[in-house]
Amino acid sequence: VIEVLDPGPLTLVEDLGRPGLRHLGVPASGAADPASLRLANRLVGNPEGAAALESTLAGPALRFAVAATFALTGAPAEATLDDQPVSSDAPVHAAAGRVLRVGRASAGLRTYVAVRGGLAVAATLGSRSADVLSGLGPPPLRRGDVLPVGEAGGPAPGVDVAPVTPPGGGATLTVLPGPRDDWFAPSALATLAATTWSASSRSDRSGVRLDGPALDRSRDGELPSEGLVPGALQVPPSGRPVVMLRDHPVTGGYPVLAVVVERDLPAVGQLRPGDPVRFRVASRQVPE
Amino acid sequence: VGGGTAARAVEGGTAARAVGGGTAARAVEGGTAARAVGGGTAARPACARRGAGAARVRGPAFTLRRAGERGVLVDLAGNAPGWPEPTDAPAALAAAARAALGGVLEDAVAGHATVLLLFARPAPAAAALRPEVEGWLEGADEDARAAADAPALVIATTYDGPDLADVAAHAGLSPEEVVRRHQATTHRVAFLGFAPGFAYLVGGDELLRPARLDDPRPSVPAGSVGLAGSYCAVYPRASPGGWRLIGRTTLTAFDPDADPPTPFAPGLRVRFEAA
Repeated sequence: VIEVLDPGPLTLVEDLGRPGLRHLGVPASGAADPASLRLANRLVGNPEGAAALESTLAGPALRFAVAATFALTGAPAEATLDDQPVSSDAPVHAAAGRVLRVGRASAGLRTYVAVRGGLAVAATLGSRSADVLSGLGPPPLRRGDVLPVGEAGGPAPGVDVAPVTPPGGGATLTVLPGPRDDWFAPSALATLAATTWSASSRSDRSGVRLDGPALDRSRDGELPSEGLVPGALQVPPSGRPVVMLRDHPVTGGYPVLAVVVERDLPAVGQLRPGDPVRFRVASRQVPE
Repeated sequence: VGGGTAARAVEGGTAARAVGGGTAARAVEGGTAARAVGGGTAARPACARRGAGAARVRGPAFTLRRAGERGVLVDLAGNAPGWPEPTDAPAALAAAARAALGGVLEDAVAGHATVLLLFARPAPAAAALRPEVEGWLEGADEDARAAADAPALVIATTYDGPDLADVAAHAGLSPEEVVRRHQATTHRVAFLGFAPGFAYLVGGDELLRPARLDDPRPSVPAGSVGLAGSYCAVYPRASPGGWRLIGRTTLTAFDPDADPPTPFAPGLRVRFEAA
C-alpha cells in the first residue's frame, strides 16, 4: 500500500474513465492528459488504463509501505525519493519505507504517478476515475489516506527512459469546425485562429476557459441542450470559449463552434492559468 | 457503418441541409421487402417491423453535423424557427443506433432535438451514415408507440416545495390546481444531462412553465421535484440549482452501485402522484 503524507493542492485517482454512460448523464471522466497516464503505465509495465495519481500544479508526498516501482510523467516537477532526485519519464524502484515527494510543476499543470500493479481503489461504474463535477469515483486524496496497490500482471518494464516532449508553455490546438459554426458570425473562426488566447484560472477538469475577444454569434437565442464531446469549444453568452475537458457535462445549451482534435486533447489537460493558446482551423477534410 | 475510415465527409455545421430525396424515395418503395439498410448493419429493417402494407409515415428530416473526429450530431430540429417541440425521435433514434452499431459506437446521446453519435473510432462519412440514420428513423415511431404503451414510472411526490406558491402565482392558478395539473399529464424523459441521472422530463402542462430562478440556490436537496420552462426534473443528489421546486420525492434517481444506475432513460414515461 501507499500512504499519503501530503496530498498537494489537488491529487486525484484517474484511469481512462467510464465512457459509454453519457446517455445516463454520466460524464466519461478519466485522466485529463491521457497520453501521460498511458506512458506512465507503460513505463511500469501496467495496462495503459490502470489507475494512477493525477496531481495539479504540485505533487503529493507518498510513503511506499512495501517496495514498489513507479514512474512520473506529464508536467515536469522536481521530485525526490528520500532526498535523492528522481527522473521523470522513467521507471524508478523504491524500497519499502521510502518517501516520494513530488514538487511544483515547472511547466504544464498535471503530473502523473503510476505504480506497478496500479492503484486498486474501488471502482465506480467500471472506472476508478475521480469525476470532480459529478462527484463520482474516489474523493481527492487526503492526508492519511492509504491507497491499495494491485498485483503486477504484465511483463517487467523494459525501458529506461521514454523520450517525450514535456508539456508546458501553452499549446497550439487544431480544431474541426462545427457542429454549430452556423450559429456564429463568419468572422468567428477567423477570430479564433488569429487570437492568442490565455487559459483562465477559472478552469477545472470540466472545462478550460479562455480569455480573449468575444466570438460573435450570428443568431441569438438559446440552443436546446445537446450532446457534447471532449474538446468541444462551447461558447457561452460572454463569447469566450470554454474547451470541454474530461469531466464535462454530457449535454449543454451553448453552441459549439469547433472541436479540438483528439491528438491535441492531452495538451488541453496540461494548460495552466495564463498559458497562451492558439488555434489552427482544419479544413472540413480531416487530414490523414 | 464500418467506422474505420477517416472522419472526413460528415457535413459541417454551415449547410443546414434537410434530407428530402432519400425519405421521399423510400415512401414510394413501400413495405414490400425487408431492406438491409446501409450494408446490413441496421438491426431492424424498417419493413420487417412495420409489416407489409402498413401506412408509411415519412420520418423527420435531419441534418448531420460533424462534432469532432468521432462525433456526428444528428439534428432533428428542422429549419422551423424558435424552440423545437420535443418529440420521441431522439430517444428512439439513440436506442436504435446503439442496438444496431454495438461496440462501433461509444455512445448515443439524445438531446432535446438531436442525437450525438459518438463513435469509438473516427466517424464514418456522411454518405455512409445517412441511409442508416434514415432506416433507424423509420422504425422510430413504432419505438415511440411501444414506449408510450410501456408502463410509466410513477413518482410519489410530496407537494411542499418552496416555489409552489410562486409557480401557482406565475400560472394564475391555485397551488392545488398546480398539483392537479402536474399529476394530470404523462411526462416522458427527453434526455439526461447536467448530472448523472438528471432526466429532463417533457410533456407537462402548458401552464406550468415557470422561468428559472434569477439566483440559483447554492444547494438543492436530493429528491427535489423542480420545473424550469417546459421541463420537469427530479434532482438526483444535492447540487446547485435554479429550477422552481414544487415538491420532493424519495425516489432514488441515481445510484452508481445499482444496475441500471438510474431508473430514467430517454423515452421512458413518467407520472407523478401524491405521496
